[in-house]
Amino acid sequence: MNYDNNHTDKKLQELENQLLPDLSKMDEHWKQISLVLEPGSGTATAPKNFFKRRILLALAAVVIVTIVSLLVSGNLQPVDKRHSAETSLPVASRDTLPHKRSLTIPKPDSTHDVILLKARTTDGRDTVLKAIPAGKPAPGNQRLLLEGFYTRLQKKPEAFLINNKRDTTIRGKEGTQLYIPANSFDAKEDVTLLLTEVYSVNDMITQKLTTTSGGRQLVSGGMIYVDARDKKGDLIDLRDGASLRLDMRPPENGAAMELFYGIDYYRDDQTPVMDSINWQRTNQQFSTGNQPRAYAIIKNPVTFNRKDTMVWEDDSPRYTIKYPIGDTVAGKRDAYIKADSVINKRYGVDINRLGWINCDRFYNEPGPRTELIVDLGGNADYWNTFLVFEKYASIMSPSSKTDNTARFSNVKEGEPAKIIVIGVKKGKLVTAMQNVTISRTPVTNLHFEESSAATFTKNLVNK
Amino acid sequence: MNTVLTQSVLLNNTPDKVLRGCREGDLDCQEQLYRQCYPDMIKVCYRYAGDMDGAGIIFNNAMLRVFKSIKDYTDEGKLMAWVRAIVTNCCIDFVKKQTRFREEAKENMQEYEVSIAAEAFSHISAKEIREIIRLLPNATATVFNLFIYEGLTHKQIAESLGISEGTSKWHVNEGRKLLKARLENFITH
Repeated sequence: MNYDNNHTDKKLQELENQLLPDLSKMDEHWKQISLVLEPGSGTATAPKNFFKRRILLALAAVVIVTIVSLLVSGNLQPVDKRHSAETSLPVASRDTLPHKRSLTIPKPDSTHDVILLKARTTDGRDTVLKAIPAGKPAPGNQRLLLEGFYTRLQKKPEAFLINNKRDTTIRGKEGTQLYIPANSFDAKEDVTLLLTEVYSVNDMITQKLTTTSGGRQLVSGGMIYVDARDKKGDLIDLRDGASLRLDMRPPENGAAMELFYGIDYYRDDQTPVMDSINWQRTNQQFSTGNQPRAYAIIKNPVTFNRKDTMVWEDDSPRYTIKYPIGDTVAGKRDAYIKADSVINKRYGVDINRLGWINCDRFYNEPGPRTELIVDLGGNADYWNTFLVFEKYASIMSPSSKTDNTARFSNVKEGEPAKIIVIGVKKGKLVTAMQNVTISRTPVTNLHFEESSAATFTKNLVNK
Repeated sequence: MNTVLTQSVLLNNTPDKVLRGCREGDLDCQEQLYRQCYPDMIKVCYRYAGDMDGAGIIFNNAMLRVFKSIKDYTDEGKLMAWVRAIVTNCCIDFVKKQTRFREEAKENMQEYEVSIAAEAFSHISAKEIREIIRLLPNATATVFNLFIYEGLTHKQIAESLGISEGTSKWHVNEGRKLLKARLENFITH
């Protein structure tokens, strides 16, 4: 007997229904999302606050409607300033403000610091791409106070204005190189690439970047964030099937590293929730060696004007010319760029996505593991706690947070590390840094001090 | 300790209470809804991610959308169907980032019959079938899954993936053809 399409479909659905779900990672997945979920008003107090807010909002609405109707009917007389307190609208307090589940970054205005993203063209002109508010905190909003602190620590990306019709090489200040073949983006005009390089552990901390993949500890050789924007400053994607060649600084110990992409959880306004980054393995290895690695077809006339040089050549007849690193380059006819010795010292991989990219390896050192418990001495909801390893570039966020404690599970005993806590206490931003040796003994008595972005950065360098 | 808390929440909260709690941002209620949805939905996510890490990412992104928009959910009694629709959309978003969907066929492409020997299904487990489908070309596996398991029409698939209906039908035909070949291969070996 043979099954027709309908029978086959039903049989397939039947078989699928027989499959039991894999629940082995449910707790882990819940932990990941629970770190992102902003706690609501709490089980015990939620209904009370909820109704209180509603009553106050209703009262405010009644007053507004009354005033509007008086205005419309023409019955509202000018009010003597001496009596204004009696007729003024209720001032919005924390309780009357609607509870915001997601962070809203304030729009830039004269009262907020603004970071200007600028791009510099190859002929030296500066162009402002976008104004990003530096996140001046609203009074009383603990979450925003914390986010504002991080925004001030945020590294300014380097901006490169490139011609999408040409092959281009860009080089970041810290040594990252990106080879971009022509037409890599779905854009007819110039494209601006924003590149942020994060190679030092201190930068990883200030950028709130942890190094775990599905809960497994990673050791990082460096991370970058790259995105592309059109003329308006809006994000654009790589064209389907396009891939860029990425060279990063090679790790000092020569360890074999792999490519990981950062998977963020995003808020509605597309800003990432950074304390939840999870690195997704691609199984692509970074490669070294002396063979040419970066090839791209070049179709337009050559233009170059810098002293830095690389050698490139076409296939037949062979000829060699020099072209500048960092500028848009092009050839008179189809040709191939050949990476020179400078490039060959680098550590490269092909990428087909933009966003957060990490050059990583799993930390697989043998030895006994334990759970490190950190007593925060206060409610852990508004704390960011990091476990920073001393001997290698690895940073973990807590596997779980309960009441006043943060727990780091499955960490190697005896490793020297640093606990860094950033949080809000009594409306003020406080930080604590404490050196520890990982053991079963809980870490207590953290010393918190009031901090700002500037003092925190200074302390990171000194401690 | 966490498990005990979860169980007590599960026992104490009725579905209405969970829904209300989620609307108020109550973390315990969000956890209950999360755990209720997980078994069925993680299977859906796994079909498109191919591994549990990816499935977790899709499911978590979907649940973030659920918690964000649950205030607007009004169709009482069909919560699971609503969650499933969001999960399916997140699966599509996930796949679209990783797979290039090319136009494979003309608009007038039709589904054709691919008869498969009933016997083939008696030699194979559900898990092996899932593996066969997972190993189909990405674009084909996605369309095939959306059509067979999620019950989307070719029109809906075409709109979601930005392809033509003909291409959607082509992928389903291709999926059936490859499935048949691999199932028959199973019988002979």
